[in-house]
Amino acid sequence: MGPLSKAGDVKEDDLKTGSATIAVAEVSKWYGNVVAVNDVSLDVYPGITGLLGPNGAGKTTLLYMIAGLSACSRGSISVLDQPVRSSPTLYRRVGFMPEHESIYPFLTGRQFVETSAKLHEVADVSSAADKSISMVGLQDVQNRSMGGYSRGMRQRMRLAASLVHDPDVIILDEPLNGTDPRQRIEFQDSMERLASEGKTILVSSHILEEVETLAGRILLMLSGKLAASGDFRAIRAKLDEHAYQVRVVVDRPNEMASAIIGMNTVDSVAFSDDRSLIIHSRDVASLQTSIPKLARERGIRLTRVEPLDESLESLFEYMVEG
Amino acid sequence: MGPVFRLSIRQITGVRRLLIVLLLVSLPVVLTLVIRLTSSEGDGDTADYVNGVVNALIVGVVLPIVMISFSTSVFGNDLEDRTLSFIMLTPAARWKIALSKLAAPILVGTPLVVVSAAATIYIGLDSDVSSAVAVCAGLVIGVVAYASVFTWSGLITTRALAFAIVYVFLWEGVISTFVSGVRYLSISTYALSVMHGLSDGSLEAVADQTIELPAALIGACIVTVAFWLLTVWRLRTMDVP
Repeated sequence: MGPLSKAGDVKEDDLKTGSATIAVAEVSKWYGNVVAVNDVSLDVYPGITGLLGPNGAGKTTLLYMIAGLSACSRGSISVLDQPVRSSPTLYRRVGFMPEHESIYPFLTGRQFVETSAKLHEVADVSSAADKSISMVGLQDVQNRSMGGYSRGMRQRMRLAASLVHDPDVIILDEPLNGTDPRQRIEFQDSMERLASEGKTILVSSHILEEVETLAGRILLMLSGKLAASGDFRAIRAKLDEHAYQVRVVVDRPNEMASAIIGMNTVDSVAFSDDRSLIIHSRDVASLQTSIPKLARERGIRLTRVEPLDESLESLFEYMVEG
Repeated sequence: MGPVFRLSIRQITGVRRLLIVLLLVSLPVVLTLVIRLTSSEGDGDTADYVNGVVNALIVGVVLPIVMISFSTSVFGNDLEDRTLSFIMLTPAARWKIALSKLAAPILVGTPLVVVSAAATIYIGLDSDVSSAVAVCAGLVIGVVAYASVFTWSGLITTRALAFAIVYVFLWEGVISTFVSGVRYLSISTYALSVMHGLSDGSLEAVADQTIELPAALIGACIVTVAFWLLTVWRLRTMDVP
């Protein structure tokens, strides 16, 4: 077993408030010979929980089963003590935003949110839509057709539609895809406000930094299994013991490499192509603040900074295997 | 009928689809006008006209193609653009969702098919209102039954269009024509039988392709309800993409 073992090792009890809102018991899901989720058991409590894992780890499949959109091949899931798949009325208290951009391009943003409110049998559709749309900050464009929205706007309007019925349980699959830094901060504020009202929020992401800023408790998935769960800071500390990779794209890679290699938190720098550097570091948070600063000081044009998925996966493997 | 119905109507009434369907439903009217304008007194053979235009063109082609166009896309669009979860993640009873989805192509398809057929028969059969009413009644039965089958097919396969076309031309067009027992399981036979049963003898030309009127009505009801129930069952058990 690795430095962090199964769920429950890391100050788990401190993070549990009240009884579990979502209970997943020995759940597996397979498609033919492919096992997407393998014997996962977990509980989710009120507050914000992050579901973290690389692409293909089984996060979306698990969320679909929790939301009742997909049947378990084995095991059982209950939400608010009810089996969600056979209880459509439960959707009055559950809001789910899938990862894919499912919209009706012929509807305006407001019509989309109001339709969601009507489908959820909300009593005062208009004021619920007002509240939800203002929460995502899209009042100015609410009467424009969604077909003309940017990806980030669609994402936020879909979030408004998922929350319009004021659900107690909120499940969001990669909600920050396509959003800019300012929108991420607003999203974080909104989620924290909802969590403070006692709601249960389960947010998935394949990007460590997204989850770090959002959730105190994380569930870590790898290859269809729950690799670890618990307090983010403790898991993060374990992650920082292991170097992982960040790709940096700049206009003058040689100069950037010589600047970066002097940092204490950088283990190595490699040239990937004409403009890319691959940096191995144990402290990505520090790296993220230092790189733009170094670039600015030296007049280097920084185009991109991205953690590599392979790197994320290797981290998870490290955590599981030790 | 509610938001699912209104969304479905918007989904299936795209301009391009409506234009194609309008062209199709205007075909029997145009053809009948051409026949009337080019034939001289005494040329007209009612039996040939009924078999050619009513049976082969309206019941055999226009009715199923119009309903394929509207019904297969009523769930097909949801599956294609992955909006089905938007509807399924709601407290709406699954039977209500299936009913709303079924009602949309019926509401859009019925006036188009019926108006076209009424005009065609009125022009083609010397302003015979009773025959026009009988044909329209038969077509309504056909619209409802086809809508149920094709709505279900749009939910179970992403190749619903191919499935529906093969079904119409193989089952309805070939097998039910040559295997007499199959007529009791044929929607085009139900439509023709209702037309024939309600007409005052002007549609005798299709008599050999019909079954008893009560059997046709019961058969159409069974097919409609059975495929609607299959749609409900599919909604309850499927993995939503």
